Amino acid sequence: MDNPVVSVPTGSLLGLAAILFCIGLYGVLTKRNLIMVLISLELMLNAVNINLVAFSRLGVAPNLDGQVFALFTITVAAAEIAVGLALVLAAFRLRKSTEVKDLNTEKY
Amino acid sequence: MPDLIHQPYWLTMGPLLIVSVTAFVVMILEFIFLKGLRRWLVWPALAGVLAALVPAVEHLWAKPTAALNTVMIDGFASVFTLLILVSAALILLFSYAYSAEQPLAAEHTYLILFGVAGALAMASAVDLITLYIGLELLSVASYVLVAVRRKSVRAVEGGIKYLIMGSVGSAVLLYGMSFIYGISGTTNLVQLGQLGGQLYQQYPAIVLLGFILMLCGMGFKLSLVPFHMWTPDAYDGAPSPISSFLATLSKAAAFAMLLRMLLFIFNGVATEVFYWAGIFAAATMLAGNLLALPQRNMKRLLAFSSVAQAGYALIPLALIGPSYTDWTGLFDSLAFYLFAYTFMTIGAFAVVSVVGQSSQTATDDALHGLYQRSPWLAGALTVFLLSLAGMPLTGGFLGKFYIFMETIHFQAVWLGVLLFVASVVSFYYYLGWVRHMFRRDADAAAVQPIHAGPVMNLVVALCVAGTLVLGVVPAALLHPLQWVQWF
Repeated sequence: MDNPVVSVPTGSLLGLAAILFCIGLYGVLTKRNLIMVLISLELMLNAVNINLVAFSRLGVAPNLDGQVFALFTITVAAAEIAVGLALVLAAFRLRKSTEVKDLNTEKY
Repeated sequence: MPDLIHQPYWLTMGPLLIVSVTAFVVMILEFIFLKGLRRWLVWPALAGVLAALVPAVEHLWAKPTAALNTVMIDGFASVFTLLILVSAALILLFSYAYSAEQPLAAEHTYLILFGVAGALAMASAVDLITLYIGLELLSVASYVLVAVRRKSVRAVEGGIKYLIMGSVGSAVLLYGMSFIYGISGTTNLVQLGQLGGQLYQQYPAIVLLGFILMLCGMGFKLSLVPFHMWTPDAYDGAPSPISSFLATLSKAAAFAMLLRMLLFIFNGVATEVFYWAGIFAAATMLAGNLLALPQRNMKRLLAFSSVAQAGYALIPLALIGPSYTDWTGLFDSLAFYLFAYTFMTIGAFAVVSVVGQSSQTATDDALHGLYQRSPWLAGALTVFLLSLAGMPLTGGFLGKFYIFMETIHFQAVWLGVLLFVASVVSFYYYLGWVRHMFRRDADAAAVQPIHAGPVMNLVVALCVAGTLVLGVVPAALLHPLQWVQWF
Protein backbone atom coordinates (compact mmCIF):
# COMPACT_ATOMS: atom_id res chain seq x y z
CA MET A 1 0.00 0.00 0.00
CA ASP A 2 2.82 2.36 0.84
CA ASN A 3 4.77 1.53 -2.26
CA PRO A 4 2.50 1.48 -5.27
CA VAL A 5 4.00 -0.24 -8.26
CA VAL A 6 2.30 2.02 -10.74
CA SER A 7 1.53 5.53 -9.61
CA VAL A 8 -1.34 7.25 -11.36
CA PRO A 9 -1.93 10.93 -10.64
CA THR A 10 -5.27 11.63 -8.95
CA GLY A 11 -6.18 14.21 -11.56
CA SER A 12 -6.22 11.77 -14.44
CA LEU A 13 -8.42 9.32 -12.53
CA LEU A 14 -10.88 12.07 -11.68
CA GLY A 15 -10.74 13.23 -15.28
CA LEU A 16 -11.55 9.73 -16.50
CA ALA A 17 -14.50 9.59 -14.11
CA ALA A 18 -15.72 13.02 -15.21
CA ILE A 19 -15.52 12.07 -18.90
CA LEU A 20 -17.36 8.78 -18.30
CA PHE A 21 -20.01 10.60 -16.27
CA CYS A 22 -20.57 13.13 -19.03
CA ILE A 23 -20.74 10.42 -21.72
CA GLY A 24 -23.32 8.62 -19.58
CA LEU A 25 -25.38 11.76 -19.07
CA TYR A 26 -25.23 12.55 -22.78
CA GLY A 27 -26.34 8.99 -23.56
CA VAL A 28 -29.31 9.14 -21.18
CA LEU A 29 -30.47 12.41 -22.72
CA THR A 30 -30.01 11.53 -26.39
CA LYS A 31 -30.19 7.75 -26.95
CA ARG A 32 -33.36 6.56 -28.60
CA ASN A 33 -33.29 2.97 -27.41
CA LEU A 34 -34.27 2.15 -23.83
CA ILE A 35 -31.54 -0.49 -23.44
CA MET A 36 -28.94 2.10 -24.45
CA VAL A 37 -30.41 4.54 -21.94
CA LEU A 38 -30.04 1.94 -19.18
CA ILE A 39 -26.44 1.25 -20.25
CA SER A 40 -25.71 4.98 -20.13
CA LEU A 41 -27.13 5.08 -16.59
CA GLU A 42 -24.79 2.26 -15.65
CA LEU A 43 -21.91 4.29 -17.11
CA MET A 44 -22.76 7.25 -14.84
CA LEU A 45 -22.87 5.03 -11.77
CA ASN A 46 -19.56 3.40 -12.68
CA ALA A 47 -17.95 6.81 -13.10
CA VAL A 48 -18.95 7.47 -9.49
CA ASN A 49 -17.35 4.17 -8.47
CA ILE A 50 -14.06 5.15 -10.12
CA ASN A 51 -14.20 8.43 -8.24
CA LEU A 52 -14.86 6.71 -4.92
CA VAL A 53 -12.12 4.13 -5.33
CA ALA A 54 -9.63 6.75 -6.53
CA PHE A 55 -10.38 8.89 -3.48
CA SER A 56 -10.16 5.94 -1.13
CA ARG A 57 -6.56 5.40 -2.28
CA LEU A 58 -5.36 8.87 -3.27
CA GLY A 59 -7.75 11.24 -1.49
CA VAL A 60 -6.93 13.75 1.22
CA ALA A 61 -7.34 11.12 3.95
CA PRO A 62 -7.11 7.69 2.30
CA ASN A 63 -9.24 5.00 3.97
CA LEU A 64 -11.48 2.08 3.04
CA ASP A 65 -14.82 3.90 3.36
CA GLY A 66 -14.77 4.78 -0.31
CA GLN A 67 -14.34 1.19 -1.42
CA VAL A 68 -17.14 0.06 0.88
CA PHE A 69 -19.31 2.81 -0.58
CA ALA A 70 -18.46 1.60 -4.10
CA LEU A 71 -19.50 -1.96 -3.17
CA PHE A 72 -22.87 -0.70 -1.94
CA THR A 73 -23.30 1.39 -5.08
CA ILE A 74 -22.61 -1.61 -7.32
CA THR A 75 -25.18 -3.72 -5.46
CA VAL A 76 -27.88 -1.07 -5.52
CA ALA A 77 -27.22 -0.27 -9.19
CA ALA A 78 -27.73 -3.95 -10.01
CA ALA A 79 -31.13 -3.87 -8.28
CA GLU A 80 -32.07 -0.70 -10.09
CA ILE A 81 -31.11 -2.04 -13.49
CA ALA A 82 -32.98 -5.29 -12.79
CA VAL A 83 -36.16 -3.28 -12.22
CA GLY A 84 -35.33 -1.19 -15.28
CA LEU A 85 -34.98 -4.24 -17.55
CA ALA A 86 -38.21 -5.69 -16.18
CA LEU A 87 -39.99 -2.45 -17.06
CA VAL A 88 -38.43 -2.40 -20.54
CA LEU A 89 -39.69 -5.97 -21.03
CA ALA A 90 -43.17 -4.95 -19.90
CA ALA A 91 -43.09 -2.00 -22.30
CA PHE A 92 -41.92 -4.28 -25.12
CA ARG A 93 -44.82 -6.68 -24.53
CA LEU A 94 -47.29 -3.81 -24.74
CA ARG A 95 -45.83 -1.81 -27.62
CA LYS A 96 -43.58 -4.32 -29.46
CA SER A 97 -40.79 -1.78 -29.35
CA THR A 98 -38.04 -0.56 -27.04
CA GLU A 99 -37.71 2.86 -28.65
CA VAL A 100 -38.13 5.89 -26.44
CA LYS A 101 -40.35 7.58 -29.02
CA ASP A 102 -42.99 4.88 -28.61
CA LEU A 103 -43.51 5.81 -24.97
CA ASN A 104 -45.69 8.72 -25.94
CA THR A 105 -49.18 8.01 -24.64
CA GLU A 106 -48.66 10.60 -21.91
CA LYS A 107 -48.28 13.98 -23.45
CA TYR A 108 -48.16 17.36 -21.91
CA MET B 1 -13.61 -1.82 17.26
CA PRO B 2 -16.80 -0.26 18.63
CA ASP B 3 -18.98 -2.11 21.09
CA LEU B 4 -21.67 -3.64 18.91
CA ILE B 5 -23.88 -4.97 21.70
CA HIS B 6 -24.40 -1.96 23.92
CA GLN B 7 -25.74 0.55 21.48
CA PRO B 8 -29.05 2.44 21.70
CA TYR B 9 -30.53 0.51 18.75
CA TRP B 10 -34.10 0.55 20.02
CA LEU B 11 -33.96 4.25 20.81
CA THR B 12 -32.58 5.21 17.41
CA MET B 13 -34.18 2.63 15.13
CA GLY B 14 -37.35 1.46 16.93
CA PRO B 15 -39.87 2.54 14.25
CA LEU B 16 -37.55 1.43 11.44
CA LEU B 17 -37.16 -2.07 12.93
CA ILE B 18 -40.90 -2.47 13.49
CA VAL B 19 -41.77 -1.38 9.95
CA SER B 20 -39.11 -3.62 8.39
CA VAL B 21 -40.22 -6.69 10.34
CA THR B 22 -43.85 -5.95 9.42
CA ALA B 23 -42.86 -5.71 5.76
CA PHE B 24 -41.30 -9.20 5.84
CA VAL B 25 -44.25 -10.64 7.77
CA VAL B 26 -46.71 -9.18 5.26
CA MET B 27 -44.60 -10.53 2.41
CA ILE B 28 -44.76 -14.07 3.85
CA LEU B 29 -48.49 -13.75 4.61
CA GLU B 30 -49.01 -12.78 0.98
CA PHE B 31 -47.72 -16.20 -0.13
CA ILE B 32 -50.10 -17.94 2.25
CA PHE B 33 -53.26 -15.89 1.76
CA LEU B 34 -55.84 -16.85 -0.81
CA LYS B 35 -56.04 -14.55 -3.76
CA GLY B 36 -59.36 -12.99 -2.85
CA LEU B 37 -58.26 -12.18 0.68
CA ARG B 38 -55.03 -10.40 -0.17
CA ARG B 39 -56.43 -6.92 0.14
CA TRP B 40 -56.95 -7.65 3.84
CA LEU B 41 -53.15 -7.64 4.18
CA VAL B 42 -53.43 -3.88 4.58
CA TRP B 43 -54.63 -4.42 8.16
CA PRO B 44 -51.49 -6.20 9.49
CA ALA B 45 -49.44 -3.58 7.62
CA LEU B 46 -51.44 -0.79 9.24
CA ALA B 47 -51.04 -2.45 12.64
CA GLY B 48 -47.27 -2.44 12.11
CA VAL B 49 -47.23 1.24 11.17
CA LEU B 50 -49.37 2.16 14.17
CA ALA B 51 -47.12 0.06 16.44
CA ALA B 52 -44.13 1.97 15.05
CA LEU B 53 -45.86 5.22 15.97
CA VAL B 54 -45.63 4.27 19.66
CA PRO B 55 -41.80 4.46 19.96
CA ALA B 56 -41.81 7.40 17.53
CA VAL B 57 -44.04 9.45 19.85
CA GLU B 58 -42.35 8.12 22.96
CA HIS B 59 -38.93 9.29 21.78
CA LEU B 60 -40.09 12.60 20.34
CA TRP B 61 -38.26 14.61 22.98
CA ALA B 62 -35.29 12.28 23.38
CA LYS B 63 -31.82 13.69 23.89
CA PRO B 64 -29.82 13.42 20.62
CA THR B 65 -28.13 10.01 20.64
CA ALA B 66 -26.42 8.02 17.89
CA ALA B 67 -25.97 4.27 17.46
CA LEU B 68 -22.61 3.32 15.89
CA ASN B 69 -22.33 6.89 14.56
CA THR B 70 -24.69 5.81 11.80
CA VAL B 71 -28.29 6.16 12.91
CA MET B 72 -29.30 9.03 15.10
CA ILE B 73 -32.29 10.09 17.13
CA ASP B 74 -32.76 13.83 17.47
CA GLY B 75 -35.67 16.21 17.12
CA PHE B 76 -35.21 16.34 13.39
CA ALA B 77 -35.34 12.56 13.00
CA SER B 78 -38.29 12.19 15.40
CA VAL B 79 -40.46 14.83 13.75
CA PHE B 80 -39.87 13.44 10.26
CA THR B 81 -40.39 9.85 11.51
CA LEU B 82 -43.74 10.92 12.90
CA LEU B 83 -44.70 12.64 9.65
CA ILE B 84 -43.68 9.63 7.54
CA LEU B 85 -45.59 7.16 9.73
CA VAL B 86 -48.75 9.28 9.79
CA SER B 87 -48.76 9.61 6.02
CA ALA B 88 -47.99 5.88 5.65
CA ALA B 89 -51.03 5.03 7.77
CA LEU B 90 -53.27 7.30 5.69
CA ILE B 91 -51.90 5.88 2.43
CA LEU B 92 -52.47 2.28 3.57
CA LEU B 93 -56.09 3.08 4.45
CA PHE B 94 -56.47 4.80 1.09
CA SER B 95 -55.06 1.72 -0.72
CA TYR B 96 -57.53 -0.52 1.08
CA ALA B 97 -60.45 1.66 0.07
CA TYR B 98 -59.13 1.97 -3.48
CA SER B 99 -58.70 -1.79 -3.90
CA ALA B 100 -62.42 -2.31 -3.22
CA GLU B 101 -63.10 -0.72 -6.63
CA GLN B 102 -60.00 -1.60 -8.62
CA PRO B 103 -57.81 -4.58 -7.77
CA LEU B 104 -54.24 -3.74 -6.83
CA ALA B 105 -51.27 -6.06 -7.24
CA ALA B 106 -50.52 -8.53 -4.46
CA GLU B 107 -47.08 -6.97 -3.93
CA HIS B 108 -48.60 -3.56 -3.34
CA THR B 109 -48.84 -3.62 0.46
CA TYR B 110 -45.40 -4.84 1.38
CA LEU B 111 -43.70 -2.70 -1.27
CA ILE B 112 -45.26 0.33 0.44
CA LEU B 113 -43.84 -0.91 3.75
CA PHE B 114 -40.34 -1.37 2.29
CA GLY B 115 -40.60 2.14 0.89
CA VAL B 116 -41.59 3.42 4.34
CA ALA B 117 -38.59 1.63 5.88
CA GLY B 118 -36.32 3.37 3.37
CA ALA B 119 -37.95 6.70 4.14
CA LEU B 120 -37.40 6.20 7.88
CA ALA B 121 -33.73 5.44 7.23
CA MET B 122 -33.47 8.66 5.23
CA ALA B 123 -34.93 10.60 8.15
CA SER B 124 -32.62 9.22 10.83
CA ALA B 125 -29.31 8.15 9.25
CA VAL B 126 -26.21 10.32 9.67
CA ASP B 127 -23.89 8.55 7.25
CA LEU B 128 -23.80 9.13 3.51
CA ILE B 129 -23.79 5.38 2.75
CA THR B 130 -26.80 4.67 4.98
CA LEU B 131 -28.68 7.66 3.61
CA TYR B 132 -28.04 6.45 0.07
CA ILE B 133 -29.27 2.93 0.87
CA GLY B 134 -32.42 4.38 2.44
CA LEU B 135 -33.02 6.56 -0.61
CA GLU B 136 -32.62 3.64 -2.99
CA LEU B 137 -34.85 1.37 -0.90
CA LEU B 138 -37.58 3.99 -1.20
CA SER B 139 -36.89 4.72 -4.87
CA VAL B 140 -36.73 1.14 -6.16
CA ALA B 141 -39.92 0.28 -4.24
CA SER B 142 -41.67 3.28 -5.78
CA TYR B 143 -40.50 2.52 -9.34
CA VAL B 144 -42.15 -0.89 -9.00
CA LEU B 145 -45.24 0.54 -7.30
CA VAL B 146 -45.82 3.01 -10.15
CA ALA B 147 -45.51 0.36 -12.85
CA VAL B 148 -47.06 -2.58 -11.03
CA ARG B 149 -50.18 -2.62 -13.22
CA ARG B 150 -48.05 -3.93 -16.04
CA LYS B 151 -50.91 -4.44 -18.51
CA SER B 152 -51.48 -0.70 -18.61
CA VAL B 153 -49.35 1.25 -21.08
CA ARG B 154 -49.55 4.43 -19.03
CA ALA B 155 -48.40 2.71 -15.84
CA VAL B 156 -45.37 1.12 -17.51
CA GLU B 157 -44.54 4.35 -19.29
CA GLY B 158 -44.76 6.39 -16.10
CA GLY B 159 -42.64 3.79 -14.31
CA ILE B 160 -39.90 3.82 -16.96
CA LYS B 161 -39.76 7.61 -17.01
CA TYR B 162 -39.59 7.73 -13.23
CA LEU B 163 -36.91 5.04 -13.13
CA ILE B 164 -34.68 6.77 -15.68
CA MET B 165 -35.01 10.22 -14.12
CA GLY B 166 -34.69 8.84 -10.60
CA SER B 167 -31.55 6.88 -11.47
CA VAL B 168 -29.96 9.91 -13.10
CA GLY B 169 -30.76 11.76 -9.88
CA SER B 170 -29.08 9.07 -7.78
CA ALA B 171 -26.00 9.11 -10.00
CA VAL B 172 -25.69 12.90 -9.77
CA LEU B 173 -26.18 12.77 -6.00
CA LEU B 174 -23.54 10.05 -5.65
CA TYR B 175 -21.11 11.99 -7.80
CA GLY B 176 -21.50 14.94 -5.43
CA MET B 177 -21.09 12.67 -2.39
CA SER B 178 -17.89 11.19 -3.85
CA PHE B 179 -16.29 14.65 -4.02
CA ILE B 180 -17.23 15.43 -0.43
CA TYR B 181 -15.77 12.08 0.63
CA GLY B 182 -12.63 12.77 -1.40
CA ILE B 183 -11.77 16.08 0.24
CA SER B 184 -12.67 15.00 3.77
CA GLY B 185 -11.93 11.27 3.89
CA THR B 186 -15.12 10.44 5.77
CA THR B 187 -18.72 9.63 4.96
CA ASN B 188 -19.93 10.36 8.47
CA LEU B 189 -22.10 13.46 8.68
CA VAL B 190 -21.25 14.19 12.31
CA GLN B 191 -17.53 14.24 11.54
CA LEU B 192 -18.18 16.29 8.41
CA GLY B 193 -20.20 18.72 10.51
CA GLN B 194 -17.30 19.19 12.90
CA LEU B 195 -15.02 20.19 10.03
CA GLY B 196 -17.26 23.20 9.51
CA GLY B 197 -15.90 25.79 7.12
CA GLN B 198 -12.45 24.20 7.00
CA LEU B 199 -13.17 22.29 3.79
CA TYR B 200 -14.43 25.39 2.04
CA GLN B 201 -11.29 27.34 2.86
CA GLN B 202 -9.13 24.62 1.32
CA TYR B 203 -11.26 23.57 -1.66
CA PRO B 204 -13.96 26.20 -2.35
CA ALA B 205 -14.66 25.04 -5.91
CA ILE B 206 -15.04 21.36 -4.99
CA VAL B 207 -17.31 22.14 -2.04
CA LEU B 208 -19.53 24.30 -4.24
CA LEU B 209 -19.56 21.58 -6.92
CA GLY B 210 -20.50 18.99 -4.30
CA PHE B 211 -23.30 21.19 -2.98
CA ILE B 212 -24.81 21.81 -6.41
CA LEU B 213 -24.54 18.16 -7.48
CA MET B 214 -26.20 16.97 -4.27
CA LEU B 215 -28.95 19.59 -4.53
CA CYS B 216 -29.60 18.67 -8.19
CA GLY B 217 -29.55 14.94 -7.40
CA MET B 218 -32.15 15.35 -4.67
CA GLY B 219 -33.96 17.78 -6.98
CA PHE B 220 -34.88 14.83 -9.20
CA LYS B 221 -36.53 13.10 -6.24
CA LEU B 222 -38.23 16.29 -5.03
CA SER B 223 -39.26 17.17 -8.62
CA LEU B 224 -37.76 20.64 -8.48
CA VAL B 225 -38.26 22.47 -11.70
CA PRO B 226 -35.62 21.66 -14.24
CA PHE B 227 -35.95 18.01 -13.13
CA HIS B 228 -39.74 17.68 -12.80
CA MET B 229 -40.59 16.14 -16.17
CA TRP B 230 -41.32 12.66 -14.82
CA THR B 231 -43.80 13.90 -12.22
CA PRO B 232 -47.08 14.22 -14.15
CA ASP B 233 -46.49 11.01 -16.13
CA ALA B 234 -45.62 8.92 -13.09
CA TYR B 235 -48.48 10.33 -10.99
CA ASP B 236 -50.97 9.76 -13.79
CA GLY B 237 -49.77 6.23 -14.54
CA ALA B 238 -49.69 5.10 -10.92
CA PRO B 239 -52.77 4.03 -8.94
CA SER B 240 -54.06 7.00 -6.91
CA PRO B 241 -52.78 5.78 -3.50
CA ILE B 242 -49.31 5.52 -5.03
CA SER B 243 -49.58 9.00 -6.53
CA SER B 244 -50.27 10.32 -3.05
CA PHE B 245 -47.40 8.19 -1.71
CA LEU B 246 -45.01 9.85 -4.18
CA ALA B 247 -46.40 13.30 -3.50
CA THR B 248 -46.26 13.19 0.29
CA LEU B 249 -44.24 10.43 1.94
CA SER B 250 -41.49 10.20 -0.64
CA LYS B 251 -41.18 13.97 -0.83
CA ALA B 252 -41.08 14.41 2.96
CA ALA B 253 -38.32 11.80 3.22
CA ALA B 254 -36.36 13.46 0.42
CA PHE B 255 -36.68 16.81 2.22
CA ALA B 256 -35.43 15.21 5.44
CA MET B 257 -32.42 13.69 3.69
CA LEU B 258 -31.59 16.86 1.76
CA LEU B 259 -31.76 19.04 4.87
CA ARG B 260 -29.76 16.59 6.95
CA MET B 261 -26.97 16.25 4.39
CA LEU B 262 -26.69 19.89 3.44
CA LEU B 263 -26.90 21.19 7.01
CA PHE B 264 -24.29 18.83 8.39
CA ILE B 265 -21.83 19.12 5.52
CA PHE B 266 -22.16 22.80 4.66
CA ASN B 267 -23.07 24.37 8.02
CA GLY B 268 -19.83 26.35 8.13
CA VAL B 269 -20.33 27.94 4.74
CA ALA B 270 -24.08 28.54 4.84
CA THR B 271 -23.90 32.05 3.41
CA GLU B 272 -21.72 30.94 0.50
CA VAL B 273 -23.82 28.12 -0.88
CA PHE B 274 -27.41 28.03 0.36
CA TYR B 275 -28.69 30.84 -1.85
CA TRP B 276 -28.56 28.33 -4.73
CA ALA B 277 -31.58 26.62 -3.17
CA GLY B 278 -33.43 29.94 -3.46
CA ILE B 279 -33.01 29.92 -7.22
CA PHE B 280 -34.47 26.41 -7.44
CA ALA B 281 -37.32 27.39 -5.11
CA ALA B 282 -38.22 30.42 -7.23
CA ALA B 283 -38.11 28.48 -10.51
CA THR B 284 -40.13 25.61 -9.02
CA MET B 285 -42.88 27.80 -7.57
CA LEU B 286 -43.41 29.78 -10.75
CA ALA B 287 -43.03 27.01 -13.34
CA GLY B 288 -45.07 24.50 -11.32
CA ASN B 289 -48.02 26.85 -11.08
CA LEU B 290 -47.82 28.07 -14.66
CA LEU B 291 -47.61 24.52 -16.03
CA ALA B 292 -50.67 23.56 -13.99
CA LEU B 293 -52.83 26.26 -15.58
CA PRO B 294 -53.75 24.49 -18.85
CA GLN B 295 -54.14 21.00 -17.33
CA ARG B 296 -57.47 19.25 -17.71
CA ASN B 297 -56.46 15.84 -16.32
CA MET B 298 -57.09 15.90 -12.57
CA LYS B 299 -54.11 13.82 -11.45
CA ARG B 300 -51.73 15.67 -13.74
CA LEU B 301 -52.96 18.94 -12.29
CA LEU B 302 -52.37 17.67 -8.76
CA ALA B 303 -48.89 16.54 -9.89
CA PHE B 304 -48.00 20.04 -11.06
CA SER B 305 -49.53 21.44 -7.90
CA SER B 306 -47.24 19.17 -5.86
CA VAL B 307 -44.27 20.44 -7.89
CA ALA B 308 -45.21 23.99 -6.93
CA GLN B 309 -45.73 23.03 -3.28
CA ALA B 310 -42.21 21.55 -3.17
CA GLY B 311 -40.97 24.96 -4.29
CA TYR B 312 -42.71 26.66 -1.34
CA ALA B 313 -41.27 24.12 1.10
CA LEU B 314 -37.76 24.64 -0.29
CA ILE B 315 -37.78 28.31 0.75
CA PRO B 316 -36.75 27.66 4.40
CA LEU B 317 -33.70 25.80 3.08
CA ALA B 318 -32.70 28.81 1.00
CA LEU B 319 -32.91 31.07 4.06
CA ILE B 320 -30.39 29.15 6.14
CA GLY B 321 -27.81 31.68 7.08
CA PRO B 322 -24.80 32.03 9.33
CA SER B 323 -26.54 32.29 12.70
CA TYR B 324 -27.59 29.01 14.30
CA THR B 325 -29.99 30.70 16.70
CA ASP B 326 -32.65 31.39 14.11
CA TRP B 327 -32.64 27.96 12.57
CA THR B 328 -35.28 26.44 14.84
CA GLY B 329 -37.87 28.82 13.41
CA LEU B 330 -37.03 27.60 9.92
CA PHE B 331 -37.46 23.97 10.90
CA ASP B 332 -40.73 24.75 12.66
CA SER B 333 -42.12 26.40 9.54
CA LEU B 334 -40.90 23.62 7.23
CA ALA B 335 -42.25 20.83 9.45
CA PHE B 336 -45.58 22.63 9.84
CA TYR B 337 -45.87 23.11 6.11
CA LEU B 338 -45.06 19.48 5.36
CA PHE B 339 -47.67 18.23 7.88
CA ALA B 340 -50.35 20.47 6.38
CA TYR B 341 -49.28 19.50 2.85
CA THR B 342 -49.51 15.79 3.69
CA PHE B 343 -53.10 16.03 4.90
CA MET B 344 -54.37 18.19 2.08
CA THR B 345 -52.63 16.27 -0.69
CA ILE B 346 -53.66 12.77 0.41
CA GLY B 347 -57.21 14.06 0.87
CA ALA B 348 -57.30 15.67 -2.57
CA PHE B 349 -56.02 12.49 -4.24
CA ALA B 350 -58.61 10.41 -2.34
CA VAL B 351 -61.55 12.55 -3.46
CA VAL B 352 -60.24 12.76 -7.02
CA SER B 353 -59.88 8.98 -7.22
CA VAL B 354 -63.45 8.39 -6.00
CA VAL B 355 -64.90 10.96 -8.36
CA GLY B 356 -62.77 9.79 -11.30
CA GLN B 357 -63.79 6.16 -10.83
CA SER B 358 -67.50 6.86 -10.60
CA SER B 359 -67.46 9.24 -13.59
CA GLN B 360 -65.19 7.08 -15.76
CA THR B 361 -63.13 10.06 -16.82
CA ALA B 362 -59.79 11.47 -15.74
CA THR B 363 -60.46 15.07 -16.78
CA ASP B 364 -62.01 17.71 -14.58
CA ASP B 365 -65.38 17.17 -16.30
CA ALA B 366 -65.80 14.53 -13.61
CA LEU B 367 -66.10 17.30 -11.04
CA HIS B 368 -69.03 18.89 -12.87
CA GLY B 369 -71.89 19.39 -10.41
CA LEU B 370 -70.18 17.33 -7.72
CA TYR B 371 -72.03 19.29 -5.05
CA GLN B 372 -75.32 17.84 -6.22
CA ARG B 373 -73.96 14.32 -6.45
CA SER B 374 -72.18 14.25 -3.13
CA PRO B 375 -72.17 17.37 -0.93
CA TRP B 376 -69.75 15.72 1.51
CA LEU B 377 -67.05 14.98 -1.09
CA ALA B 378 -67.53 18.39 -2.71
CA GLY B 379 -67.13 20.10 0.66
CA ALA B 380 -64.06 18.06 1.56
CA LEU B 381 -62.38 18.71 -1.79
CA THR B 382 -63.15 22.41 -1.39
CA VAL B 383 -61.34 22.40 1.95
CA PHE B 384 -58.30 20.68 0.42
CA LEU B 385 -58.20 22.99 -2.59
CA LEU B 386 -58.55 26.13 -0.49
CA SER B 387 -55.78 24.83 1.74
CA LEU B 388 -53.53 24.07 -1.24
CA ALA B 389 -54.22 27.55 -2.58
CA GLY B 390 -53.62 29.08 0.85
CA MET B 391 -56.91 30.48 2.11
CA PRO B 392 -57.19 31.40 5.81
CA LEU B 393 -58.58 28.91 8.34
CA THR B 394 -56.73 26.05 6.65
CA GLY B 395 -53.35 24.47 7.38
CA GLY B 396 -52.00 25.47 3.98
CA PHE B 397 -52.56 29.14 4.71
CA LEU B 398 -50.68 29.10 8.00
CA GLY B 399 -47.86 27.03 6.52
CA LYS B 400 -47.40 29.58 3.75
CA PHE B 401 -47.82 32.43 6.20
CA TYR B 402 -45.02 31.16 8.45
CA ILE B 403 -42.70 30.66 5.48
CA PHE B 404 -43.58 34.17 4.28
CA MET B 405 -42.78 35.63 7.71
CA GLU B 406 -39.44 33.80 7.70
CA THR B 407 -38.53 35.35 4.35
CA ILE B 408 -39.13 38.81 5.83
CA HIS B 409 -37.25 37.92 8.99
CA PHE B 410 -34.24 36.74 6.98
CA GLN B 411 -34.42 39.68 4.57
CA ALA B 412 -35.07 37.58 1.50
CA VAL B 413 -38.21 39.49 0.60
CA TRP B 414 -37.94 38.65 -3.09
CA LEU B 415 -38.67 35.00 -2.24
CA GLY B 416 -41.65 36.07 -0.15
CA VAL B 417 -43.01 38.18 -2.98
CA LEU B 418 -42.57 35.30 -5.44
CA LEU B 419 -44.36 32.99 -3.00
CA PHE B 420 -47.24 35.43 -2.96
CA VAL B 421 -47.33 35.86 -6.75
CA ALA B 422 -47.16 32.09 -7.33
CA SER B 423 -50.04 31.56 -4.87
CA VAL B 424 -52.15 34.10 -6.72
CA VAL B 425 -51.54 32.22 -9.98
CA SER B 426 -52.51 28.96 -8.29
CA PHE B 427 -55.89 30.40 -7.24
CA TYR B 428 -56.93 30.32 -10.88
CA TYR B 429 -56.83 26.55 -11.25
CA TYR B 430 -57.78 25.55 -7.71
CA LEU B 431 -60.83 27.81 -7.72
CA GLY B 432 -61.62 26.65 -11.27
CA TRP B 433 -62.26 23.21 -9.79
CA VAL B 434 -64.37 24.69 -7.01
CA ARG B 435 -66.44 26.54 -9.61
CA HIS B 436 -66.93 23.27 -11.54
CA MET B 437 -68.11 21.45 -8.42
CA PHE B 438 -70.73 23.97 -7.43
CA ARG B 439 -72.15 24.44 -10.90
CA ARG B 440 -75.77 23.37 -10.98
CA ASP B 441 -77.05 20.93 -13.57
CA ALA B 442 -80.32 21.97 -15.17
CA ASP B 443 -81.61 18.42 -15.26
CA ALA B 444 -81.70 17.47 -11.59
CA ALA B 445 -83.25 14.06 -12.28
CA ALA B 446 -80.20 12.89 -14.26
CA VAL B 447 -77.89 13.47 -11.32
CA GLN B 448 -76.23 10.25 -10.15
CA PRO B 449 -75.19 10.39 -6.52
CA ILE B 450 -71.66 9.20 -5.59
CA HIS B 451 -71.15 7.04 -2.54
CA ALA B 452 -67.64 6.46 -1.24
CA GLY B 453 -66.99 3.41 0.93
CA PRO B 454 -66.69 3.79 4.72
CA VAL B 455 -62.88 3.48 4.71
CA MET B 456 -62.54 6.09 1.98
CA ASN B 457 -64.82 8.39 3.96
CA LEU B 458 -62.59 7.80 6.99
CA VAL B 459 -59.47 8.79 5.01
CA VAL B 460 -61.14 11.93 3.69
CA ALA B 461 -62.49 12.80 7.15
CA LEU B 462 -59.07 12.37 8.78
CA CYS B 463 -57.48 14.59 6.14
CA VAL B 464 -60.19 17.25 6.51
CA ALA B 465 -59.71 17.14 10.28
CA GLY B 466 -55.93 17.46 9.92
CA THR B 467 -56.19 20.37 7.50
CA LEU B 468 -58.73 22.26 9.59
CA VAL B 469 -57.10 21.60 12.98
CA LEU B 470 -53.76 22.87 11.69
CA GLY B 471 -55.55 25.91 10.26
CA VAL B 472 -57.67 26.82 13.27
CA VAL B 473 -55.45 25.79 16.20
CA PRO B 474 -51.92 25.75 14.79
CA ALA B 475 -50.57 25.66 18.35
CA ALA B 476 -51.63 22.00 18.45
CA LEU B 477 -48.56 21.28 16.33
CA LEU B 478 -46.40 24.37 16.82
CA HIS B 479 -46.34 24.06 20.59
CA PRO B 480 -44.86 20.53 20.63
CA LEU B 481 -42.45 21.55 17.87
CA GLN B 482 -41.05 24.31 20.07
CA TRP B 483 -39.97 21.76 22.67
CA VAL B 484 -38.14 19.64 20.15
CA GLN B 485 -34.38 19.75 20.37
CA TRP B 486 -33.58 19.77 16.66
CA PHE B 487 -29.94 18.71 16.70
